[in-house]
Amino acid sequence: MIKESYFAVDALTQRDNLFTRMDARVKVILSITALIVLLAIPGVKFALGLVGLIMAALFLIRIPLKLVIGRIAVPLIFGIFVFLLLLFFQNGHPIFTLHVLGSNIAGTREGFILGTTILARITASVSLLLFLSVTTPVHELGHALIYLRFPKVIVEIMLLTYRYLFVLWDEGMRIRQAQTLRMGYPDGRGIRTWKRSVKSISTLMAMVFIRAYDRAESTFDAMQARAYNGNVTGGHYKSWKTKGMQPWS
Amino acid sequence: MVLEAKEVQFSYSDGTTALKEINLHIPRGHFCALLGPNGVGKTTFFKVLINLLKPSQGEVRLDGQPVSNYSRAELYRRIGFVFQDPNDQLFAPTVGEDVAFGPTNLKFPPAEIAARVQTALELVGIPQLINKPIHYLSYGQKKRASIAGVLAMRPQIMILDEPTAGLDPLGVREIMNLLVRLNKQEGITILMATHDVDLVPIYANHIFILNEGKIVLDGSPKEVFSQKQLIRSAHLRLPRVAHLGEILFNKDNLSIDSLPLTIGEARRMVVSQVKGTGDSHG
Repeated sequence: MIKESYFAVDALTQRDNLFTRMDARVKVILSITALIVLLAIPGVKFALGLVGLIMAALFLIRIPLKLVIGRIAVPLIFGIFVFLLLLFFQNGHPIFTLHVLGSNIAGTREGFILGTTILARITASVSLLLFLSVTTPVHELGHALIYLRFPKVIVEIMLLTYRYLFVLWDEGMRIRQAQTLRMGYPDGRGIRTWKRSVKSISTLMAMVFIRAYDRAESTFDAMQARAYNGNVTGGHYKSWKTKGMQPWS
Repeated sequence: MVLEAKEVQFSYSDGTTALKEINLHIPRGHFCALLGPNGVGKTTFFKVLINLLKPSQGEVRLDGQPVSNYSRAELYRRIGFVFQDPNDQLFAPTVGEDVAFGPTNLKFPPAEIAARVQTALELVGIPQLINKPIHYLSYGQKKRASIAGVLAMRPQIMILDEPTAGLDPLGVREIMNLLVRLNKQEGITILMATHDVDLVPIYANHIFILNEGKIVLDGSPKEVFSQKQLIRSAHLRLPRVAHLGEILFNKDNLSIDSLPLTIGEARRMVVSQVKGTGDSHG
């Protein structure tokens, strides 16, 4: 399911629309600028405006609502948790009081303002990253980051991770299926069943690590056999997208 | 002579001896096959040939010079190596970027790199996949993309580790035809590892049999497959057609000068036998 989700995002970046046609560097610069402004401006107006704008853009390019909700839900739950903590534990003027288990907990005005600001910022930041991820293929993002002088080694690790995520996921799934076929994850409940499943999962994880190591060695050999000199991406990103997206152009 | 191994030995750090004493000459322009059963050390030998592994003893020479004397760029500009599993080799996010990896490392100007990428992809028949992410490719397309990645460096020799493993019959034929085209039209010397004995006589003009860390047979397909006992002791077998010829000779008393290795040879043999019989009856 996780792999399908990656594939879904990846497939969306391959579509042809206004935002996928836009140069990755423009999108990265705009996103970073928006993040800086988001953190610099107090209040929630800019954040909410940004969320509205991004949602309109996502709607315009027909990004499935399920995917948008799925991507935003987890950070949003975390944001709501932070909001509640701040609302009740930030010192300030009480605006309402709750009676919980015989004690009074007061929600404060300062806590509410700070909580809503953080919640809005989290939602806006996540929406922004979602927008970037569904409109920009990872390799374009990588080249844009290199162009913008991000540390090359980090970008290269990101690109390699992206490439091998799918390969290792497939290997992990193959091991899981092989385990399932030999009762690695038995049906039913009980401590024995549970212990067997935990053991299978730990074996699976260990095997994926070992295979990742093997894969890394083979890949390094393959890189050396093509005169690897320390650069994965190579080339320079001089031209804008309209003039060709190839990294060597 | 292009590539030569002299008394090459190789042992792993755990003490396992993978290659005992290998002597091999690969002449320029030949299409060579290294035949051997699984686990015999074909991949290890290839890695020694391209200097990814250092031999414990002996040496590998390219055009008379030890491969260890070449700079990495110079060596891999001349020898291209295609891995068995294309996923080991394709590490860039898109096909075009992966094919550009080698030429970029060789520091060619951008226009030259773009031209090489285009040409390599056209040679392997997938120019339309230039901007495709690797994980969208089929296994056969990945094989082609990994060959293109090596071709873009314009090597004189291509070494391929089981290039047909995991492909369907059509995929096998397409890859082998591609290799023949590269050999005949582009003049690239080919050395491929395989244990597909039926495939080898159709395409290769020189065969090496590797067994127990040694080259036990070396010659043309006719010469090599005439050594039936040695072939079988190397955990290999005769091509199916040759086996049929052997049965016809042993059990049906058909007079055969040499075992047919391909369908074409078998057909000629059968036709001549039938005609001969017809003449004798007539």
